[in-house]
Amino acid sequence: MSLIKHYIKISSRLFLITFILSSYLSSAQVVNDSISTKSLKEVIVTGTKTKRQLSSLPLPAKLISKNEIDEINSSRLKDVLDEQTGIIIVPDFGGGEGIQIQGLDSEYILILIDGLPLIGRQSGTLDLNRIAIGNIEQIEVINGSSSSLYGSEALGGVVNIISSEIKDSLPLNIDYKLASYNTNDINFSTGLITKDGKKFNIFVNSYSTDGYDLDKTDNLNTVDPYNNYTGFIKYSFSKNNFSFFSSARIFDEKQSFKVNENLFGDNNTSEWSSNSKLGLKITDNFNIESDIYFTSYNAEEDISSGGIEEEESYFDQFLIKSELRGIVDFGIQNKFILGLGYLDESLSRNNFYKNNITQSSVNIFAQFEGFTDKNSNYIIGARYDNYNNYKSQISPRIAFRTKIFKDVSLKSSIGKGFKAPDFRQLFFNFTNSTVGYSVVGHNVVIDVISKLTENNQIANLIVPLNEFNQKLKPETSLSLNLGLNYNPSNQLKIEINLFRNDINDLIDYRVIANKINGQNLFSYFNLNKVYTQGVESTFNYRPNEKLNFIIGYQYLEAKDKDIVTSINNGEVFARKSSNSPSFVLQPKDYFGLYNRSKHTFNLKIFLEAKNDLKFNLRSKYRSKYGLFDSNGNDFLDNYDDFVKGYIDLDIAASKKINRSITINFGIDNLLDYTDPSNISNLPGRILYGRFNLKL
Amino acid sequence: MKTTTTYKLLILMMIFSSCTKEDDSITLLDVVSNQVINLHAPQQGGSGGGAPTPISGEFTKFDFSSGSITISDTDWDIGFRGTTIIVNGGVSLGTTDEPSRTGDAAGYVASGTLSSVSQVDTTLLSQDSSNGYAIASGSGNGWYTYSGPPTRLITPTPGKILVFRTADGKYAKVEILSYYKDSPPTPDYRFSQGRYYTFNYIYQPNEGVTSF
Repeated sequence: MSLIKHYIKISSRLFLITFILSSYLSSAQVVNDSISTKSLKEVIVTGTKTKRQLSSLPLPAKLISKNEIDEINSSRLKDVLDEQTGIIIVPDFGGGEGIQIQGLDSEYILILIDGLPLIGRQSGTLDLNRIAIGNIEQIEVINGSSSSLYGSEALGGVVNIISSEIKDSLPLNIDYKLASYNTNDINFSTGLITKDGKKFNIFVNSYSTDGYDLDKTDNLNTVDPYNNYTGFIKYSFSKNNFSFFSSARIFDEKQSFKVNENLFGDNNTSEWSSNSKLGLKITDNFNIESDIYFTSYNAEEDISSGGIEEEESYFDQFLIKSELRGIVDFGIQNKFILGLGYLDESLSRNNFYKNNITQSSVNIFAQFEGFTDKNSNYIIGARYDNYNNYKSQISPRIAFRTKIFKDVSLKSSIGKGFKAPDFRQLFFNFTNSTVGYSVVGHNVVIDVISKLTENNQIANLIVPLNEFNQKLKPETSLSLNLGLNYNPSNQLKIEINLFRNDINDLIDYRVIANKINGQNLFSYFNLNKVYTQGVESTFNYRPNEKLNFIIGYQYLEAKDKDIVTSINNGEVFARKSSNSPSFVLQPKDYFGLYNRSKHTFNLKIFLEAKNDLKFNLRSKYRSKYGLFDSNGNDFLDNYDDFVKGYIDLDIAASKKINRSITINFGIDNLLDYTDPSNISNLPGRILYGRFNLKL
Repeated sequence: MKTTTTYKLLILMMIFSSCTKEDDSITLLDVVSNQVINLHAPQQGGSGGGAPTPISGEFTKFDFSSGSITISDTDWDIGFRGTTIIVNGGVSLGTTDEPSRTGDAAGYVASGTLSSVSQVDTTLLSQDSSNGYAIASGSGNGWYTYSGPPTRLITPTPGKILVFRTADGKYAKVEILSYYKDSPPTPDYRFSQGRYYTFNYIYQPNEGVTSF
């Protein structure tokens, strides 16, 4: 409660200050610049759940167009996101690739397709390689907490993939890309528009690769061969005051891999989802929307030795989500939205205390988007999520934007975010078969320990069991953004955004008991308080239609507050290397959280030459970061081993042969940079060619 | 002025001379500062490939007064087996091949650097018992941290100083530097041989003196 009070106090003050300051500044200005046609076209829905002009949205947002996706010849979602300022793609030990925004991990970023969430986060990370992007209109990214609209997981941001709509009947798009490591990516799409305006389109993708091996010494592949298929169909129809939209998506992936000389494994992932949206215009300024969504994710892994099964694991998740929204328009641009949602999820997986976990929750949210005058607008909203297994959450957000000078606008937003504990943190019951340690979910500790005690497996308890009568709390954050946009013409756009996220009750595991085999038993607790802060800036210069020049930079600090305090108190020690004596660590020597680079920098140049020839060059630099502690104090200090900073440089060229055929060539990772033991998701230099036919 | 200086000097001389007199009567031994390299502490069983089996094997015993390992059943202070450290005081936890305790040794884990831990807090001393060891076993509980995959390394936790009372009631402090043979600066679990201790210690040979 005190947190909410504190938050309301801060936010109301901040809002008042910005409000007074901006109304003073905007009253002083005389000339009103008309919004350019380009920015008028840039419409974004993710920030507000209503259609909004990107330029007037008071939240830090990014819009990646179909054009850009096409020009960089990307096959999967991670390829596109990886090139955006402020977004870092992080490999997972499980083999997936997740996203990091504002220093927050994949677990805290919601990934949506047409506004609805993807599931299947086996160890928290949502693997971006699952998502084919041949049928995408645009990708929308909102930085900072959006829990006030989306609830759990939208603590660090939201990525929304908007599928494309067909414009004319019977289009045909065939796309084939062949790349190094025998990587084949085939996209096919077509559609139909009936006389009465019904639209139907279909998209199919097939992707296969031989994988690659960065470390030749160990007889194992870094990425084993795999192939997957994606199918997507979409149907939409509108008549008078009624609109209907329905889509279905399927995904199937298979991979065979080698664990060691004798152990072989098979992975099988299949996923489907179905989404129906209904729109009803009651009056000119009152609309009702509703959607219902089903999605299922199944992953199976079998490991066998000489045809005999050794280990089987499975992960079957199912989600039903429905939402009803009422949208009222006031005046020209003011909007009020009220939503009511229901979620029902279930999970069954191995190493769980219960075979099948289910949970349902309801939520309600409201939001007002208003304009105080032509140059200033704001958003006020909040959402309430009701849960049975843990504390219910209220997530408010306030955002404000104003033009302070002719070409300069100021954006500021403050919002609360949360992430509900995942089922693993509540119900896990896992014992490592080779080493013998155990990890147990918070809700099942009492049962598991009492069983182990009966069997004389527990040597001594470190955390008293009555601590587990308390429920695990959701992780919560306070997210602050302050941005400045300078946009004097269509040619130049400079954006700077300062951000700060304060996260409380971060869930982590710690030892709760010693087992008689000398190993530990771990469980999950609300332990840490961390913060991430930094600045993200983009400079975009477009002198003419043929040249586009983008520079982006992010500075990031991400630290654990308790570690900062202990270091300041002189209670923390480090070693120069793992064989030297310890000494007291100085505050300046704390590097911060794992896997966070202080500096990321990117440069993109798109050039259109004569004769329908296009070139582009894109590069990304990521400064040094640490993946684990190497001197035993359990966190990252300047005396630990780091992953070296590196540059990933890509180039591409395309030539339009005629109206319907385009040929592309490119090289990814031109500098052939690899770091086998630390950066598993960066293969060596990749050459590719791509053929596109549009009819 | 001159008289005061002379007076002060006189007092100083008196203090000095009285001190030396006292020293003469007690004759304290010098504190011993030493490094032990590659103390081999093998074990059988346990985890490490395949299903865990009960841990067994002789402990490698160390005696502070001689500064060397020993096979004596009684004249030892601390013992090593794998990551486990025992003291020659209290009772056995009951694992296979664990020696019986014959002395009055005890120990605890202090936080600090080897030089900053300069005083023994005798209230913290405990002995091995049937519930657990004076130096707790397991990653993060006692002297080491196990990193888990992918590096799988046993690293001495920085700032953990092991303080011991020896079997015959003297005191010593130990900082473990490495668990791997020849204490490589960047061990690799695939190549580095574990269960080889390298440690610095400081031994206070004077009976009843709790400072180093």
